[in-house]
Amino acid sequence: MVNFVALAREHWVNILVPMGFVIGYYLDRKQDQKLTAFRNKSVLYSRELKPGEEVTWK
Amino acid sequence: MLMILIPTLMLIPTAWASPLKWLWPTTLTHSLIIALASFTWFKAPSETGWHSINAYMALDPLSTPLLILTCWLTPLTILASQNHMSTEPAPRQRTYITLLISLQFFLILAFSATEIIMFYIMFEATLIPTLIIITRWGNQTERLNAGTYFLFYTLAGSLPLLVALLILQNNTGSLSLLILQYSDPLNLAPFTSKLWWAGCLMAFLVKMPLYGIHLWLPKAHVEAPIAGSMILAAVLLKLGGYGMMRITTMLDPLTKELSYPFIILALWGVIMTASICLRQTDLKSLIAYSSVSHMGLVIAAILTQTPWGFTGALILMIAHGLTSSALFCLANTNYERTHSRTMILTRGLQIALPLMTTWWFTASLANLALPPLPNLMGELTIITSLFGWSWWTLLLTGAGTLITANYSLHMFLMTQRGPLPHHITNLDPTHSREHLLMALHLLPLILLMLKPSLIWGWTA
Amino acid sequence: MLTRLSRFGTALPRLLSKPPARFVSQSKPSGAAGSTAVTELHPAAEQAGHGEVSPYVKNPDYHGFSKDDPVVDEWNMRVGFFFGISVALVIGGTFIHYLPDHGMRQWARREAEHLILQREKEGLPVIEENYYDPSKIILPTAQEE
Repeated sequence: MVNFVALAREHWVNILVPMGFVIGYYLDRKQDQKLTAFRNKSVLYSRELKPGEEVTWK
Repeated sequence: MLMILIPTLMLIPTAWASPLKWLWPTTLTHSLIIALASFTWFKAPSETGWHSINAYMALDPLSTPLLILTCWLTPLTILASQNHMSTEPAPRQRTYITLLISLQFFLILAFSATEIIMFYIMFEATLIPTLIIITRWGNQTERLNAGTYFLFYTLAGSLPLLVALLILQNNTGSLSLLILQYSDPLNLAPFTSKLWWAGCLMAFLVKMPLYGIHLWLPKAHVEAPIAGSMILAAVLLKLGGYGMMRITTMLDPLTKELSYPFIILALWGVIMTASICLRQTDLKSLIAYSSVSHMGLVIAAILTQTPWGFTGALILMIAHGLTSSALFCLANTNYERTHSRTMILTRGLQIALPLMTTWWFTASLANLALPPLPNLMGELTIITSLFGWSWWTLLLTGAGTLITANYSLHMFLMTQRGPLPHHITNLDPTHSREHLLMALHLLPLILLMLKPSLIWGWTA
Repeated sequence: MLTRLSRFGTALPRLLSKPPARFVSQSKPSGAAGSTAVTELHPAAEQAGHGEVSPYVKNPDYHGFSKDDPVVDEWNMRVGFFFGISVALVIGGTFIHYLPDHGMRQWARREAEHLILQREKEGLPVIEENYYDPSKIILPTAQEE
C-alpha cells in the first residue's frame, strides 16, 4: 500500500473481472424487468401488497 | 446468468493483459471468485422448475449442479497446469489459459441453453478448444491419433443428432427445452422413428461413452495434458449425460423397447472396462477406463427413465467428476516427477511422499464408492433403479462394484505400497500447490455428504 | 561396535566385519570409514550442469507456483489458499448451508410427522385409502353411452 500508483499500474487487470460482475448483474436485473408483465397477477401466487410496497419483487 | 458469463468472458482479457509473473495468480483468483459467485445458483425459488431465466439461458435442478461443477473445475485446471506450463513462452501460456476459459464459457452456455440447437452448437464448440489442448500440448506423438479419434468419433455421433433436431424443429416448430415435454409425438414411419430415436441419442452415447464406441476416451484422456484430462473427465463426459436426460423426455414410448440393447451394452461395459483396468500398465489409462466404467452405470440409469435413475445418474456424474479429476491430478504429480506413467516404475511412493498418500487414499476410496461419499449414494441409487427395471441387472452391477473396488485397491497399492524402486533417487517433496489442488477436489466431495439434496435433481 | 568385536578373533563370521553403508559407527570415524558411512542422496552441485536443478535450491520455501520469483510464489500460495479454501469453501459452504428449504422437502417431512402424531391422537386413520374423495367424483350414469 506504499505506492498506489505503482500498485495500480501493475495490478490494474484485477479490475476487469469484478467489472464484468457489475455489468452482468446490472444486465440480469434489466432482463428481470422485461419479465414483469405478469408480476403479482397470477391466480395461484398473487397476494395483497403490504403497506408501503409498490411491487412484490423488483 | 450473465453475472457469471460476462466475468468468464472478462477473464480472457485478464489473461492477455496481466504481466507475466502475475498471470497465474490473477487468473486463479478471479476464476475462484467466479466459482464462488456461481454458488448463488443453488438458491432457486422452489415454485418454478426453471430459474434465472434469460432469453436464451435458464437453470433448473438438473443443470445447476453441472454448471457449478464446471465453474469449480476451471480454477482447478489453472492450478494444475501452472507447473508444466512454466517453461513455455508467455504468449503460449496465455493461449492455454484462454483455451481453458473458452471451454468454461462454452460449457456454461451448453448446460444453461434453453433451445436444443444452442445446446448442440455449444456441444460441438467445446470440441475445438479440447482438440487444440490435446494435440498441441500433449506429450507423446500418439496425441495426434488421440485428437483424431476424439474429434471424429464425437462428430460422427453428433451429425445424426443435427438431422434429428432439424426434423423435430420442422415438425413441432420449436425446440425450446421449457416446453419440450409437452410436444406432440412425431408422425414418422415406424422404421424412420426408430432411426430418429437412435439419431437423437447416438451423439450422447458416444460422448458418455458407451462401451463399444468408447475407444476415443482412453486415447484422449491419456494423451491430453493434465488440464485437458481434468476437464474431459469431469465435465465433457457429463455433457453427454445431460443431453441424454434432456432429450429422452420426448423419446417415449420408443425408449421402452429400444433402450434394451443399450442398457445391456452399458452394463456389460461396466464389467469389461473395470476388468481392463486390472490389466493396465499405464496409470492414466487405468483412470480413463475407470471413467468409462462409471459412465456405463450412468447411461444404464438414464435409459431406465425413472426418477431414481435420473437422480442416481446426476449424483454419480457430479461425484465422478470430482473423483476422476482428482485421480488425474494425482497421476500428474507422479508424471511431473518421473516423466513416466508406467505404474511399475513409480511404486512405493508412500515412504517418499506420505502426505500425497493421504490424497491417493482418499481419492481411491472415493473411486471405489466408499459410503457415505456421494459416489456410493449415486451408485446405490442407480443399482436400485436398475434392479427395478430387471432383477438380472443385479448380477452385472454387483460384479461391477466388486471389480471397481478391486482395481481401485490395485491402483492404490501399486503406486503407494511396496518398495521404492532403486532408480528413484530424486523426488521433489509435495508442493503446497499440489496439496491445494487435491484439497479443492476432495473437500467439496466430502462436504457434499452433508447436503446431498443439492445434487438430487428433481427427486424430493 | 561389531567391528570392534571382530578384533577379538575369527569367532564372528566375516560378514560382520564389513559394516553396511548406513551403519552408524560408534568408534571415532577414521578417514576411510567416515566418508562411506553416509551416502549423499542428491548432491546439488553435481546436477547443476544437467538442467534438472531442484527449485528448492534457489528457494527453500518453494510452494510449487513460481520457480523464478519467490515473492510471486508466496503470494500465489496465499491467494490460492485464501480464495480457494477460506472464501470459496468456507464462505460458499456457509451460504449453501443456510439456503432456504428447496422444494419444501424438510417442511414436508416435519408436516408429515406432525400430521401422523395428530391423527394417531385423534384415533383417525393415518392416511385415507382413496387419494380423491369418492363422493366428489361424478360419474355418468350407465344409460348415457
